Amino acid sequence: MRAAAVAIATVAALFLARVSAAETPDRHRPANGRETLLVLPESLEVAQANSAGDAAGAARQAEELLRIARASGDARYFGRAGAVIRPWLDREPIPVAIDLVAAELAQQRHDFGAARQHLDRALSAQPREVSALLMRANIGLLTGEFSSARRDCLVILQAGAAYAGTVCLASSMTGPGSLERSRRLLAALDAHGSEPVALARWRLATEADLALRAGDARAALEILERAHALDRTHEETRTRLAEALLAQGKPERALALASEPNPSLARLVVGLRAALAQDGSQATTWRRQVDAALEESRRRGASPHEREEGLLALHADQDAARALAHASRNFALQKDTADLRLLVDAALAAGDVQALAEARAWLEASGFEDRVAAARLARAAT
Amino acid sequence: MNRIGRALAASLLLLLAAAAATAHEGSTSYLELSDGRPEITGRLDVALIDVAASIPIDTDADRRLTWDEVWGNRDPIARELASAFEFSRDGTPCTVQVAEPWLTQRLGLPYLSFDISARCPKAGALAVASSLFFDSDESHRVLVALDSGSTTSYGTLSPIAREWAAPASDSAWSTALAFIGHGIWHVWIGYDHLLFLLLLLLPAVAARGADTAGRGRAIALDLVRIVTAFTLAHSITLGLAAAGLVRLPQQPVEAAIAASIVLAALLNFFPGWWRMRLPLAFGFGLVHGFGFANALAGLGAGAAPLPVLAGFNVGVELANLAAIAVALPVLLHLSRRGWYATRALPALSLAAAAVGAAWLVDRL
Repeated sequence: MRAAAVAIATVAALFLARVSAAETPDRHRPANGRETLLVLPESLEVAQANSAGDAAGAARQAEELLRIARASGDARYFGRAGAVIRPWLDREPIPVAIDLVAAELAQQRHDFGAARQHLDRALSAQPREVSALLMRANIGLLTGEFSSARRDCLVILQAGAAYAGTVCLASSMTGPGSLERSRRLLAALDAHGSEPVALARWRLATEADLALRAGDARAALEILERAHALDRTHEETRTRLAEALLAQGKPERALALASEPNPSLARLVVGLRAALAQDGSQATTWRRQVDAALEESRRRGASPHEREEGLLALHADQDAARALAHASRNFALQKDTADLRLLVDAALAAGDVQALAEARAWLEASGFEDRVAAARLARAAT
Repeated sequence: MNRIGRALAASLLLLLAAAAATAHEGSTSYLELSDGRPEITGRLDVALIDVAASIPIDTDADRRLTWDEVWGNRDPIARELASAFEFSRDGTPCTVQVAEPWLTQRLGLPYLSFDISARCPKAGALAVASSLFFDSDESHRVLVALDSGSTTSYGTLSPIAREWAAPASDSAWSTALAFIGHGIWHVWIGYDHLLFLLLLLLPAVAARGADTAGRGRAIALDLVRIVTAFTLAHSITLGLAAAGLVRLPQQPVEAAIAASIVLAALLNFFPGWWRMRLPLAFGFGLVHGFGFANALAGLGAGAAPLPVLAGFNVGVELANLAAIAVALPVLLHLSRRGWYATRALPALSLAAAAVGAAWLVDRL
């Protein structure tokens, strides 16, 4: 019985150690008082200026906060921008510039319905407002409403924004042969080198997505490397590149990218998957980070991270049924290539015939071409 | 760049960025309290960047915040934070005090950490209200954890819900009692655990002693050993998994539990190997513990506090012992028949092996 007592005591001690470690992060008072703890964003003062009485000023201030949020990846600046425009959302009519900021904020929190409402109102006041058209097209692409996205892309082209309109159009093409048409369209698009980095990155991201859907994962990886070289701190590109590296059997580099500072939850999940694919020695550390981020998100009352939770269930927990539940809810909200692949892979792992049939039906109805997903579905059918 | 180009440059920065925010989904403060009736004590952690946005602490305006600047402004910071929180018990306000700052990190960001205390009336439910940063940041949340001794309650303050009242908390004893019920129910509906245990017991009653007393002692000793090994093993892994120290996916665990039934059943055909039941009980007991942990996680108790863990484990044990108490007299009665060891034991084991194999195929 002594051995039993020791074992039980050990478990209890480990349990208590874990609980106390989770609840009380260490704290200290630095010995060197001159050490820099934090560098404040450059234009923070501009963004904090008081412009309560002027809609254009409030919109400018909010846009500056959005700019800081994008550059730093720090979502609190989205919250500050929201607080700046809040008083204007209760007035009629809502100024177009305020509606545009509100649409960006709604899109950022994946509330695509609210974002579309703001954009529809802004575009009814200014039908050729390119920013609004571009955002609405992007929402259409994310939610699988390709024909409405295509209409907005055409208006962007008519408004004279040829480069952006072409990339937008290439992203929105559907139907048989659309993949190759889209790739040819982008290949023929002249880059002058003077395009904004964001625009060049969008083109490369679209090209990479098309290559991936065509089954050319190696080309997709090479394109993502070029996109990453444009701005090595761009979170979405960095995460996609890490995913592509992982898919190509290069977990070491994927892990290195995932380990860079201020990771998104999506990048943390890639990090965990890469750690598992490597030798598993770092997996526990990554898992704790993922769990901590998810726990904080849940406690904050944020919308569920269905895509990330689905990937976790599928690749880290090998729990196909749970993965499929997350993947289905995720696909109801967003229909990017990654969302479709997650749905198909989870349905295959779970052996869920109905989910596979629904994925097939969506591919047929939407005309969205993804040869890899289609091949996986076809193999399951035979 | 023309007007369209500028507009595109601005709006394109957002494209593909919807999922690109960091693991922080906005600004978060953490308020961890302990209710020592009448005094509330605890800790308030606030992001340094949020403090800097509301109080001018960058004294030399070089955009680089140092500890000297934080320490030099500790009084206005403490005053601002103390004025942003209101504690009350049954509507009677408490006096809040915020002490000098420490430095800490939360999800990779620098945070200022303060001891916080409040003098409150002794009786009544505690309520916490805050206005911290809410007017300037819609993303701000204050995550509250209140340790009442036996239980911890959690709340979230936000711009649209600025007050949180602690729920009437269950005692540790009532929580444990509730989870004893969950443990019993899980074993009752998850009969694979029972089947495994009963398979290990089938040979026990076939033991032969020199006389009735000797046979009884041998059976009792065998039972105690097997049940203790199984209990100890599944308690270890249940504890480790509930504490988050070890994690195994559900599917292979469930498959291994089915495999344990097949193996235990096959072992019963070879009396010479019956002594292997003890290591088998311990080894597969470890696996069954992960199964119990998955069931516990399914009840929403992934990181289970001790009353939950203890209650669930006691419930599992009670169910196991109850099953043995029902099965044992029947098996003892049957074992006195000559055909028990030669026919009944192999037949029951074969049936169990078939059931286990079917589960194994289903779970793979």
